[in-house]
Amino acid sequence: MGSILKEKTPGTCVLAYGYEAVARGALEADVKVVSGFPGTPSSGCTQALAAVAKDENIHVEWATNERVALEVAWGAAMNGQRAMCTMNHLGMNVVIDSLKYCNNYGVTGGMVIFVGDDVGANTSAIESDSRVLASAADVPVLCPATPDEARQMTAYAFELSEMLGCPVVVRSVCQLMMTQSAVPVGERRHIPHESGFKPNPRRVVMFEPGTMSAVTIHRFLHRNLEKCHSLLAEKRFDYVDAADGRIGLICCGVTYALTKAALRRMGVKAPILKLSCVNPLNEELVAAFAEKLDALLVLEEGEAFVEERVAALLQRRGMMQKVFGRIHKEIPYGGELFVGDLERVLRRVLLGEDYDPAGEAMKPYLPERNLTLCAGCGHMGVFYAIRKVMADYNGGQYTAFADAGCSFMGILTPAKSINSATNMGGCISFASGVADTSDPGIPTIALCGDGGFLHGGISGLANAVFNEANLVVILLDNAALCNTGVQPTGCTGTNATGAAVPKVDLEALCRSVGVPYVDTVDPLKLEDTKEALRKALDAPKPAVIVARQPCVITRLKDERKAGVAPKTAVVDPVRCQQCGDCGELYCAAILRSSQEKTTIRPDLCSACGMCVEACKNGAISVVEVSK
Amino acid sequence: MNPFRLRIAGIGGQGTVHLAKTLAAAAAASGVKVTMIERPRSAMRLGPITCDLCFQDPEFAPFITPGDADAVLGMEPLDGVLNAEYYIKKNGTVILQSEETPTVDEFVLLQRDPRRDEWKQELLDRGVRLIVCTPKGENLAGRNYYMLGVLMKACPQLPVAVQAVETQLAGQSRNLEMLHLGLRAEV
Repeated sequence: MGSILKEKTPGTCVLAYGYEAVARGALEADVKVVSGFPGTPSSGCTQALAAVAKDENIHVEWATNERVALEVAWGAAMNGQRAMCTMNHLGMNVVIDSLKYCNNYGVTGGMVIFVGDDVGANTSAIESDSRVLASAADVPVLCPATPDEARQMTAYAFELSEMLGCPVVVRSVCQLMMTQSAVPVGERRHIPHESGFKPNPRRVVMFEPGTMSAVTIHRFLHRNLEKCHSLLAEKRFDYVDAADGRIGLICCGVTYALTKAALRRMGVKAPILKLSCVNPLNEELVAAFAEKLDALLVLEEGEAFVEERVAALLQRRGMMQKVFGRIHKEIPYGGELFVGDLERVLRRVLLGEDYDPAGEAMKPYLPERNLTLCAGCGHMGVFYAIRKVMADYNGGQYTAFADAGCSFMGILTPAKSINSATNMGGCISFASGVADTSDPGIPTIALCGDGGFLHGGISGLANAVFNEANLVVILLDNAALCNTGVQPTGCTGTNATGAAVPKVDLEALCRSVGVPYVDTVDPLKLEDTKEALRKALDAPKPAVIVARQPCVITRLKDERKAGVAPKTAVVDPVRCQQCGDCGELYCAAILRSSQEKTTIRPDLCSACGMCVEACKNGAISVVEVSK
Repeated sequence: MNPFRLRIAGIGGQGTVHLAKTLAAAAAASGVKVTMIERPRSAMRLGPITCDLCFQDPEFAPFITPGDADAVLGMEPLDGVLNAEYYIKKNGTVILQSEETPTVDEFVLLQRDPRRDEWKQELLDRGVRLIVCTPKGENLAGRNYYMLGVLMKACPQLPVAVQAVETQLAGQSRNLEMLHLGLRAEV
């Protein structure tokens, strides 16, 4: 089977991830501009489109943050082109300001916002439901139930956007987006569009005579949303699966497919209303479905978003049906709904079988293998230097904060050298607040990755300069967004398509906002890093250290490509005194034991050399791996 | 054809996703209905990862329901037994690679967690077929495909032919070599 994005024959089934199906849908709709910020489970969509961007003559980029991604797509859509921006649920929190402006001013070309919600927070620090924020911005929200529907719905969302003149959100979740399955492809369409910036002047210039006021536009947006269902009717994304029974199920997005699987396991049938357009809710359809039933069970991933609206609708219309779901605790808030969870809920609600709503058995959480930094990660050198230097500085008192990239690993055992972590780029301003309210003798350190710094950290640094924050900022420049799959940042030197582009000069950027002290260090050089930190602590503030070392995954990949022979560190058991100095790096490749001499696993070691420097007995050296 | 559900549990850097993708592609190319869901905790090496493959499942339900896995392939023995604990069927097959990678607790305490053996024993007590295997030699590259070879030999009900996997691995000599080594392993 080939790539779903390259398949030419409509109807052919191709094995593809859900996010690739979304990408295919965008291609079928003749998307011209795609801008995204990485985050599970949406990253793969942009990556897939970047891989074909040159052949398809489309512009695909990784933006510095989600708000920028939305603004780029919005600009392209206002310029008459079909455009998409991609992000995960954390990004939806970031874009809301621009999204409200975007919806107020409108679009001329179709604009789709693809949001992958990491329900269950598998790779995220925060769990949230993008439908809530999209609804607050008065934009339509479509939730596909199957991979094929993800493709069709994405393609249609561009049309809907053009008909309504507003952006349309396609929201999905991990269980659909991270699954490979056979997806039939549709026809590629060429959409002729007049290029040129032709905004609706009544919606753009709000304070000129003859234009609408913000209040009038707000009212218009609500009326605009009401058109959604008549436009969507022909697509039949929302429909009823008729069956006997007095309790009906309302299933949103992927829970429709999963509920059908759960019912099949139970050997039970029930009437189902499948809802894909969740904002606005198709009230007539819901009311007509509810009319012949005694109760409704709402099954959806995320908040009780549809459930609350259904309950409100029934109350408004004086309908007496009971609504089961999260509000009455049949389903706990938070976490994903798997088939097993749905079966337990359905057994309780449909069959009256025993079920514990407290949900002890609701989620089969496994004991977890904690994350550790990759062996040879430059961050390890920075954490090591912080632990060593700060132990001797001013009685060992300090506070340190990271952001949401790999630097948050410094909180975890055993690397523990920082106190807490914030959102992307938020650690600099957060640390400023801590520094402003701490004893001036207690140093405050902010650790921010290059991705986080360009995402939002730079504004925090500018704020720290003109408000004179007593702060040391360490920029962990590994030239990638590693935590989300090693995507390029402005510091990489290549863009989403792999083309060489200029790098953002972090040192110059810091100096340009007035940082009085900027130093650069290679964090794999432990003594140099310790010295750089000591100097920064005594330098005028805010002081910045750029700790520059490429992500170890990138480095090893580049070395393999270049044919460099793999190397590993080895321990000379005669010289090894088991002093534990190398162990203080907390490198996963170094295996120490209370009974045996230290060894290093060649399959994990990246030959970074940090342990060679850390060992005071000269017992560790780097050699080529024997074949 | 009956559904066959396989969970592969490993840690980042062991080729768990590569293996799952190959198997899914081999199934799809053979006309076998398949879903494969990957569940990483992060993109980092050494982070826990699972991939669920459901062959011939009549509905779209990619994540295996606890107690429904016909087989669990543990690329690391601890992650393998912990996943099997929840997901393996009564008479299912659990295949574990024997080489252990310490958890953070083991790493810090400088000692192996004795519960590793207790968990293994518990599976045996439940009547699970447990196969522990390790490819011989120092070069561990391709050990994921060695494990697949063992699985294919131990579970003939897996609805994917060896030839279909070989086709997917065309040009990957080391992986093919290890697959064949696994197919010759004693199970």
